[in-house]
Amino acid sequence: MSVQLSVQGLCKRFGGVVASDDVSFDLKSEEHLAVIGPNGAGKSTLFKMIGGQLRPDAGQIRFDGHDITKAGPRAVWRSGLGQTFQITATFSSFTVRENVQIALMSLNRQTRNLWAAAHELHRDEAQALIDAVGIGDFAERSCGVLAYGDLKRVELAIALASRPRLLMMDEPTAGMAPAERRALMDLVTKMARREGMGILFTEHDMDIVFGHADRVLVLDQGCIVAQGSPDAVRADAKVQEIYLGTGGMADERV
Amino acid sequence: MDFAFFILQFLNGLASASSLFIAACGLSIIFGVTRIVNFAHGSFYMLGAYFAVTLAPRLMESINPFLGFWGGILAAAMIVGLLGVLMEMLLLRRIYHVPELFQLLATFGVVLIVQDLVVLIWGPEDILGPRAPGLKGAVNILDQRFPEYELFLVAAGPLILGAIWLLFRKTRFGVLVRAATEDREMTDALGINQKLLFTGVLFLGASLAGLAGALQIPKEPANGFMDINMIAEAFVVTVIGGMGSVPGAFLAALLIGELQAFGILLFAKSTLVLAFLAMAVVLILRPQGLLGKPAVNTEHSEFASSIPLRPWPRWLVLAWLGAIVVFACLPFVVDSFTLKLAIEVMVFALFAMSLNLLIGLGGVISFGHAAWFGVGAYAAGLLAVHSHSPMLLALAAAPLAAGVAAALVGAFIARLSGVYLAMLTLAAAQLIYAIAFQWTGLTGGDDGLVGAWPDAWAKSRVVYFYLTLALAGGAVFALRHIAYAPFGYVLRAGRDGPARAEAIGINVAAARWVAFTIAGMAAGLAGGLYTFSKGSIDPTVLSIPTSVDVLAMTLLGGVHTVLGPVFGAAALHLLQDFAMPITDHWRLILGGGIIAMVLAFPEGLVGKLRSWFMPAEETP
Amino acid sequence: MSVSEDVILKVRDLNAYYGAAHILHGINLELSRGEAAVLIGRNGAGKSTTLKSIMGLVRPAAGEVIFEGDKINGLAPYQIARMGLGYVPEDRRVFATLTVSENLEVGRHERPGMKAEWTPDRLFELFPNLAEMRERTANQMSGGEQQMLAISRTLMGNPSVLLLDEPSEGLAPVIVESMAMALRTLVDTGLSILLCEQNLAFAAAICTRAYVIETGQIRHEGTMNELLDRADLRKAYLAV
Repeated sequence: MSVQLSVQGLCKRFGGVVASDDVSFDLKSEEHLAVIGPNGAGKSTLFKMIGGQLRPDAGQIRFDGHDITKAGPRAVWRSGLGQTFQITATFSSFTVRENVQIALMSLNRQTRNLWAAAHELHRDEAQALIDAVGIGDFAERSCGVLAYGDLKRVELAIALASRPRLLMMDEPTAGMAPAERRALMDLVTKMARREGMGILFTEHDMDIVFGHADRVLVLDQGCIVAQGSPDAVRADAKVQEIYLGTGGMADERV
Repeated sequence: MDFAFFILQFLNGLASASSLFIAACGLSIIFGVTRIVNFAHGSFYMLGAYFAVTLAPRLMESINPFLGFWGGILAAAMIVGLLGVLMEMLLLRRIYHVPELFQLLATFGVVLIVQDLVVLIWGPEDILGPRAPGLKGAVNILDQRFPEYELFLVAAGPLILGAIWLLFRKTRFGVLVRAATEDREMTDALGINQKLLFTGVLFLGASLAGLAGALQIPKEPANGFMDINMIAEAFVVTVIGGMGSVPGAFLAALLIGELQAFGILLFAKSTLVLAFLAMAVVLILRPQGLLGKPAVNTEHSEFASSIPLRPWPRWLVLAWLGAIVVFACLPFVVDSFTLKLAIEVMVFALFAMSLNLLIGLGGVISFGHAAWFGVGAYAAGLLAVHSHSPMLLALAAAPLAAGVAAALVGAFIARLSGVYLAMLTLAAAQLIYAIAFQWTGLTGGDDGLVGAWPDAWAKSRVVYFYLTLALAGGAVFALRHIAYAPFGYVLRAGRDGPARAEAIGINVAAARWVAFTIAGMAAGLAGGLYTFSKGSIDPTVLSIPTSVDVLAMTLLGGVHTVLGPVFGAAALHLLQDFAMPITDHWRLILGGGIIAMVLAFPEGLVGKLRSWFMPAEETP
Repeated sequence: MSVSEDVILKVRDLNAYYGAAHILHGINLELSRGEAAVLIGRNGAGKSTTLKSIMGLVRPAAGEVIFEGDKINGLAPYQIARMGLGYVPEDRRVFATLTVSENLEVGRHERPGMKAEWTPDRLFELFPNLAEMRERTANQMSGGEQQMLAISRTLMGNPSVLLLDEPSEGLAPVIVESMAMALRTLVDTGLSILLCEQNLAFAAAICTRAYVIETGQIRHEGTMNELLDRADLRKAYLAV
């Protein structure tokens, strides 16, 4: 498999805090890669740098052979990298279907159109997408009144509208009931396998991480401390130390 | 220019910097802790002057001139401080959690009320104050005479800065204010009573404004324009200095004071232009101001809505068609006066619709929308009066001129958001107001332009009515159409979730800039139509009260409705027209009304009606 | 269960949301007077939200918080703080432009009818590092020093319960160790502590009882020793 996303030597400081310290990794096409680590490990910073919301201090990000290090979020999206956010961000005054329609309008460069009836544009394609994520019946509902689990699905449909080749998800199941989590991730993985789409995600729920990732990357204090198959990472002593903490006072049982 | 003159100009600059700083620093302190931009700060300033001209002469007579004068100044500051406490307890406490536009509007309601109360209590005439005992003369500086009182003011600014510094370093209250400015929630969790702290901060901020006003009395009479004149400059100073930073306000006041002192030699009449340009430069280089901290990015606008735009049901389309036909029959049934009123209602309906494109769809709080209405009105008026252009040409020029002006200003403020944007739109409007007011040769200054009447073919009021119906009505429905078009969706997407919008390829700032331009054009067309309906035009069309009127119309109609502002405009304009002749206290009523509206139903008139009549969205 | 009769803080069926996201699904826990207990779990489990809900910084949608026999949910955070609940937030949140002395001053509160136990001088005995930097502003301090300041600032309010949100986060091991000793000293003086942690060893050095939290629910409660002895629990809820 070829390398789809290549991150080389990424650094980012905020004042005296090092949020990202020489982070390098590759994601092969169609690979599902999970990034885990304790609070403040630099997961969100890493995602924001890849997504174009933050500019790295040093390093390079290449996606499908193109340098996207300095690209803003709009350019990153156009290059075929879709994302969903930690705090769900849907357009609350839009209906479920319209949330996807607006992404399709943007994809077709219709954002300056002052004339067409937006409600009718790309209606069928949007409906197909929300059907696919299982909320087709809510097409006409306002996103402002939807349950959280359904909002997550709307967000997924928005991100999928541009047919991304890589989907980046920051804590896709945070705030969901345990039963819904697995269902959502099963859906995402199934769709990704079918479309040949890669996935890069962070997650706190370890069942989700080890159940859905091909490979796991562990961050701590801005550095990559381990990466490899789920089993290898699970067996890594350093990773266990980060998660359980020894802090120089180890009880022999820890 | 010789050296002595240079020194004197410099001292003049320092004196006005001191006045500016004392006036503006309270605004910054209040914002730092409460996060409210207090429009009524100008009112506190004006009240300080009025209390001082009332108290000082009496005290000077009954005690002695020296103690009486300074006692009067201090007493005025204290009384204004107590009024600040009153405002905090009665009003601000109820609006700390409402969207910032409503906070601005509610405090502007206080401005209106105070304006009327001042006239009620002190009468409409300016009141001269006493001169400061012991500081009546002038001193010789390099063979030039310089007033002693100005010299006193030069020292007063740094003294006040020092006093605030001591208060902030050496007292528990000051330490708490600084802590709360940094992290309000954390002080709450540490056991600090927020209400008491805010009340104390309002006392401090308001008494400083009162002191600044009181210190003006040897220089200018207490008058009813002090509030608005001061607030625009205070906004400029706090924005340049960084919201919430007292030393920043001091630096900014120095910058503006000196710019004005020396700028007056270059552009004798438009010192505000320089202040505005300075602000533009500072904000481009340092958006958070000289000593301000970068604003925390709000993830979504406070105006995000959960009400989708639904295509109109057939009955609503028919109802609108019916209403338009009935409205078009007006000339057959009503007299000429009512027809004039109907024309004005259409003009304001378009004006309010144009503002709602920004606020309702874009979530962009424009507080100076009168600027574009005024530019359109003046463009049409100037062409008609000075070059006797045909009316239709003048009417075509109105939206073009306003659109160009809005595009220029929008180019560098469309990227901002929240209170910064609101304050900058207001400052831009004040700048254009100052130009219209001061460029007497072109605009006729205060008197304005007269004789901008429609061409012969449209002289009849009936013809002008239909012309307005066609143009304003057409524009209103064009704006409605935009709301349902992809561009309208893009604007709402940028309002509901800017980060999400950017992540699906939408350029939110660019969309807002286009919206700013379109809204400016529509407001300009309304302004042009307004000029020919009145036959004359003067700077009040550009003033802050006009901006507030149109805001009130938009909000009354409901920002999350498409055609609500049309009803808001009709309701407010008719009310104004009926109420004005029978009451002298229109501003009192309007101010009270605005406050009541903010407190009672922020979703607006039409929004309220809709929630009664339209089926509610079901919640799962 | 080793819960004594003298329960100082009790949380019953707490449910909390951020916007539409359901974060806490019915949290129950108790803290006895003079006891140190840990709420342990991975990040994102709902630890911070639990503390914020107790403190009134997040309005719980359902459930009760009872402190010294009084229901306190619904009260403003400053009222809760004045009753004797001290809160040390995640990320420390010291006032960056204020000096050490000024930061302490903000936290100062003498509870009516009680002797003021904590003074700056006593705190400087507990954290000697701070004594040398009274006039330094917090933004010039290291993470560990800021954490000591944050704890000291809260102690200035003379609380009877200390809510600590991940005090070991991002600190060097040697600092973590001295932090644990200082907190142990506090427990020995009779202060009750509810600690939120991911660091099991750090928690074990301070606490005698543990609640294991995952996805907004308490999955296990018992003594610290039980948790240390049961690898299955640690594997399921704490490790990866």
